[in-house]
Amino acid sequence: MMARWGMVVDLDSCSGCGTCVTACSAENTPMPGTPAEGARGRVIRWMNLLPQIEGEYPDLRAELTPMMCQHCDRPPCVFVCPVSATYKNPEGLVAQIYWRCIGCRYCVNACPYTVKFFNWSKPGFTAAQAACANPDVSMRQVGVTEKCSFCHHRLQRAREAAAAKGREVREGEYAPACVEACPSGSMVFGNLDNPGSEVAKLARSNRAYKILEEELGTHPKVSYLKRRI
Amino acid sequence: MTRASFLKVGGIITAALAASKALPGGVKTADGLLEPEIDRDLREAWHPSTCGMCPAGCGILYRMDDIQPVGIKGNLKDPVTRGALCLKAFGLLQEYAHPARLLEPRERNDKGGWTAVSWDSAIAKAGGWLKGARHPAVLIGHEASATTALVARFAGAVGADLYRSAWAPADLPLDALRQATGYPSAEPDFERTNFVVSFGNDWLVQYPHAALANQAYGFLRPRSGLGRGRMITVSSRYGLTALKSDQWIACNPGMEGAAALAVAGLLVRAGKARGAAREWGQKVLAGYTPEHLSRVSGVPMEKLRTLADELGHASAPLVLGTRGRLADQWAVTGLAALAGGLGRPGGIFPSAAPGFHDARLASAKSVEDLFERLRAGTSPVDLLVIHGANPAFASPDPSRWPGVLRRVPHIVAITPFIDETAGNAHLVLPSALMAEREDAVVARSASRARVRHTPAAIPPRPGVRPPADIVAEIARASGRSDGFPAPGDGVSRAINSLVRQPVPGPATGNQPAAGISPALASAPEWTMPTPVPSGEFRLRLLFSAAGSYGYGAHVPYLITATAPVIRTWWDTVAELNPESARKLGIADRDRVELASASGKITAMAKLFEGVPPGEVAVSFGLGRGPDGLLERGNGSNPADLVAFRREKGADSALWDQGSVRITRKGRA
Amino acid sequence: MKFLELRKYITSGVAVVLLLAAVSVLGWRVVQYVSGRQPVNFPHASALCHVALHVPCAACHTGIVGGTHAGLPKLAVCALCHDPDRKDGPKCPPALAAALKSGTEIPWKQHSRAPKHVYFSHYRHAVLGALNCAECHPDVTRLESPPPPPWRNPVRMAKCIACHRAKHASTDCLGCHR
Repeated sequence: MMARWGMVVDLDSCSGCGTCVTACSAENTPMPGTPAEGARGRVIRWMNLLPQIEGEYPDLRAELTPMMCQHCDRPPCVFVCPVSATYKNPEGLVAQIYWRCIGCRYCVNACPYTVKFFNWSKPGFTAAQAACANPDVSMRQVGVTEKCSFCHHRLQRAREAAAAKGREVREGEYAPACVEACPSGSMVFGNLDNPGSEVAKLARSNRAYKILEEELGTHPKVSYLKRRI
Repeated sequence: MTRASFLKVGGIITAALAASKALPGGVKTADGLLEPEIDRDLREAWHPSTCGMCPAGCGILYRMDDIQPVGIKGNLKDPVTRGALCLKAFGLLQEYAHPARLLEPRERNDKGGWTAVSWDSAIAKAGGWLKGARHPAVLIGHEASATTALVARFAGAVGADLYRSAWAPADLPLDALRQATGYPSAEPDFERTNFVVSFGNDWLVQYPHAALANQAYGFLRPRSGLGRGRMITVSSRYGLTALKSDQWIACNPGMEGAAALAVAGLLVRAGKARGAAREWGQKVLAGYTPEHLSRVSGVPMEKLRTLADELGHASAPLVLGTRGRLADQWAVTGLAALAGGLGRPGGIFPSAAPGFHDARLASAKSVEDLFERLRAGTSPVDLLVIHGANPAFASPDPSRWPGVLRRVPHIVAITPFIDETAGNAHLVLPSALMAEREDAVVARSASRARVRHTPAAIPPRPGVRPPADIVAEIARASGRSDGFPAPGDGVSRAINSLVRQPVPGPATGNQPAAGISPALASAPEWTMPTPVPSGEFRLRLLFSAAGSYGYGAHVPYLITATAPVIRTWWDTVAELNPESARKLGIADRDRVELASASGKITAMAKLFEGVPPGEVAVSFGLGRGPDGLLERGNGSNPADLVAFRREKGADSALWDQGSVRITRKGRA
Repeated sequence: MKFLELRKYITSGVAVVLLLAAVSVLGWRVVQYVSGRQPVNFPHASALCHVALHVPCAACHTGIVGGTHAGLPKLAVCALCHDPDRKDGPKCPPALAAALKSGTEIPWKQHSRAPKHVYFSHYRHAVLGALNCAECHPDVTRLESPPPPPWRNPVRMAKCIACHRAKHASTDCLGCHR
C-alpha cells in the first residue's frame, strides 16, 4: 500500500502549550543551543509555534500556529537541491539525507515556510546527552541542513513490524512524536489517500486550509483547521 | 538499586526479550500493577515511571535501549492523566544527562570553592553536625512524593523544625479558599466544566498541572464543535489564555480583583446570588458599587453585566484567580461561591493537601517563617538540611536569602544541581531524580486520585543516591535516628507502607457549602491595590509551564519553549507596549534597566501589543545558561524586583509585583 | 635570510607537517582496525560446538530476532547452556567459567558496525528475507578463530544496492537512511 502521509492540526483545540515542540526535540535531538546562538536566531527546532499578532491594545487578535515541515507535494526545496539530498519519496515524504547534503543552503532559502534549518556550528552535545539520543535518528553534523521528517524512523520500524506479520503498515500504527504527545488531541496523522481515514476527512472539512497554498501552489500535506469564533 | 545491579538486570532484560520471560519490577497503582511494557512488534522496551519535573506526577514511559533511556512518552494506561503530558516531561532526558548535574558529594573549601569528597566522609560529616546540633531545621519543597513524606519524617525523628516552600505565583487563590472552605488545597474541575472565567490567571500557561490544563482545553473544544465550552479571560495583558479565550476582557493593570468584585456585586443585584455567599455579596455591594469598580478597573459596565449574566446562567462554572493579594483572592473566591462554582462539579473542589498524608508535613511551617526566624536572629538554626527547595531563586526578592543563610553554621543541600540556594551550602550531596529511584506519588485531578508506586526506571547516574536514603544514612550516622527507617530496605519498606495507606483526595459534593457562609461573611474588606507612582510601570511576572515551580529553565529544550508568543531564548525579556516604549525612546530589542525599591535588573525590551500601556511583563525563569544554573552575565532574575511582603492570613510571601522605573541602556 | 633559503625551510616544514598528519591518521586507522583479536578465542566452527551442533546464529546474537542490532552475547545467554559446576553438560572452557563465576561480562569487540546514518534491520534480511549471514559477513562456519577485521572487506552501499536491485527490494534512500 503506497500511502501519502499527511497531517491535520486543529487550531481550535490547540492550546499553544508547546508540548509538540519539546516532544519533537526529545525524539529527534536537535542541537541544544547556546545563548549566543539564540540571540542570532540559529537555534534549530524542527517544530516551532509561530505567532501572528494583529491590532493594537486592547483590540487584538493573535494566532499561534504549530509549524513544521509541510511535506509539500510540490516542494520548492527539492527543486533547488543540486545533489538530491532532499527529495520527495514515493510516499510523499520530503526526505533529507544528511550525508548527501553539501551545505549550499539553497533549500533553506527556497522554503517559504522557513522550516529548513542549517547547522552553522557543531551541535554541542556532551557524551551523556548523546547517549540519551534516540538510536533511530542520525545525529546531524555541522554544515548540513535538517528538518522535520514526519518521524520517518518510526515508519521504518512500524513497517518492519508489519512485515513480520506478512503485511504492509496500516494507518494508526505510525504517528510522529508531536502527534502522539499533543495533550489536547489537536493533531491527526495518517494516509491522505485513504478517503475514509480521519486525516483525509478532516483535510476536506470546511474549516481546513493550507498555508500559502493559493499564493505559491506548494500543495503542503499539512492542513490546518480554522479556529471557531 | 545500585548501578551495578541495574546493569545486571538490564542485560538480562535484553536476553529475556527473546526468551519471553517475566520482567522484574512494576508500577503499583490503586488499580493494580502496571508491568514494564514490551512492544513485541516494534521490539521496544518501555519502563513506566513518574515525571518528576513538577508535583503533578504524570505517568510516563521511558524507552530503553538496553539500559540507556532514549525516549519518553505518556502512559495511556495512567488512570489520572491517561497519557497526557506537558512540555516539561520531554526535557527529562536532558535533565538526566545535564552537564551541570552534581555527581559527587562536595564540600566547601577555604577558597570558597568546592572540593569533591567521598560519600562516606560526607555522611560522617553531616551526621556529626546533626549529632551536635541543638536547633536543626529541614527545608523541603513542593514535591508530593513519598520521598518528601520521608524527609518530613526524618525531621521529626531527629527533632528538627520543618519548613516547606510553595509555588504561589501559579496557584489558585488558595489562602482565601482555605479560609473559606476549611480545606488546605483545591483542584479545579477542568474535566467537567463548560465555562471557565479567569481573572488574571493565565492558566493555559501557568496552571501547575499543565498536562491536565492542556488536556482540558481539548475537552472545551471538541472537534465536531458540539458541546463547545466557553472561556472568558479578564486580564490586563493579552497572554496565551486570553489569546485562546472566546472573549478577552481587558482591564487596567492589577485590577482583575476589582473586576471580579464588580461581577459579584452585579450577581447579587440581579438576585442571582446563590445561597452561602449572598451575605458576603451584599456586604461587598454596600462597600463598592459595580459602577465604581468598573471605573477603577477600566472594564465597561456593559461587559461586566454580560459576564454576570452568563455566570448567573452557567451550570458548571469554573472561576479562577491567582494567589495574589488576599483582598483579590477573596474577591474571586466569593464570586466563585456566588456563581455556584465552589464544591460542585465543574467548579473548584476543595481538597486535602497534595501528596501523602503525614502529620509532620501537615504542620510544616512556611519557608518564609524560616526566613524571618533567621533574619530575627533570636532563635538561631545551627544545622539546615535542604531538599527540593530553591528560595534563593524562586521567591520574591530572592537576594535576601544568602545573607540569612550565612548565619547558619552548617548547611547540607541534597540536590541534583548546585542551584542558587545550594550554592550557599557547606556540603552538597547529589540526589537521584525521580526516575532513578524507588518512589511513590499521589497523582490526582478534581475527580480522581491514585497512588503510583514506581521502582527505579532508569539506571542512576554514577554517584547519586535517593534523597530518602541519604537522610536515612545521615540519621544513622548522627545516632538520632529513633523511629526512622534504615537506608536501603528500610526506606523501601517505609515507601511500601505509605503506599498502602488510604489516599486522600478531593472533596466531592457540597460538603464545604455549610462552612463557606460564615467564613466569607467574616472575610476582610476589599481594598484598592497600591497605585503606581507616576512615570512608573506596574510589574507583571510571567510564569510559564517550562519554568513552573522555578524548575526547568536549565534544560535547553525547555528554555527554548518558555515564551511562546515572544520568541526569544535565554535572555531575560521585558515586554512593553509599543506606544509606551516609543515615549521612552526604547526600540525593539534595546537593553533596558528595570529598577524598583527592592532591586534592579537589565533585560532585553520586546515591544508587544498585548501589554497595556503602564505595564511591563517579564518572564520568570529565563536568564540562566544551559551549562549551569549560576551562569552570570546571561540574564537576570526578575524576582529581584519584587519586594518581600507577607500578608496576615497568607502562608506564602506575596508576589505582589509592585512597580518599576524603566530606563534605556543602549542597544544589545 | 634570503628568500630561497626561507623557501627550503617552509617546504621542509610543510613536508614534516604533512608526514606527521599522514602518520597519525594511518596510525589511528591501524590501531582501529589491525587487531581483530577477541578477548576470548571463540571458535564458531569448532567441530564440538555451535555451528556443528546447528546452533543458529540468532541464538546468541539475539538482536537479529529480538533487537534493533544483532548484538554480542551477554553472559546470561552463554549461561543458558554452559554451567561451570556441571560435569555432564556442554564443556565450559576456563575463560568462560571464570567469567560466569565472577559475573563480569566478556568484553567482546564489536566486529561489524553499521554507521549511525544507516537503518539496517537484521530482522528484515536474516529472518524475513531468509538471507544467509554469510551473504554479508565472513563465513564463520569455516573459521576456527575470530573473523578478520572489517577493513579487509567492508560491506559498501554498492553491494546493498546491487542486491536490492536484483531482488526487487526498495532502493528509496529513505528505506535505509535516517
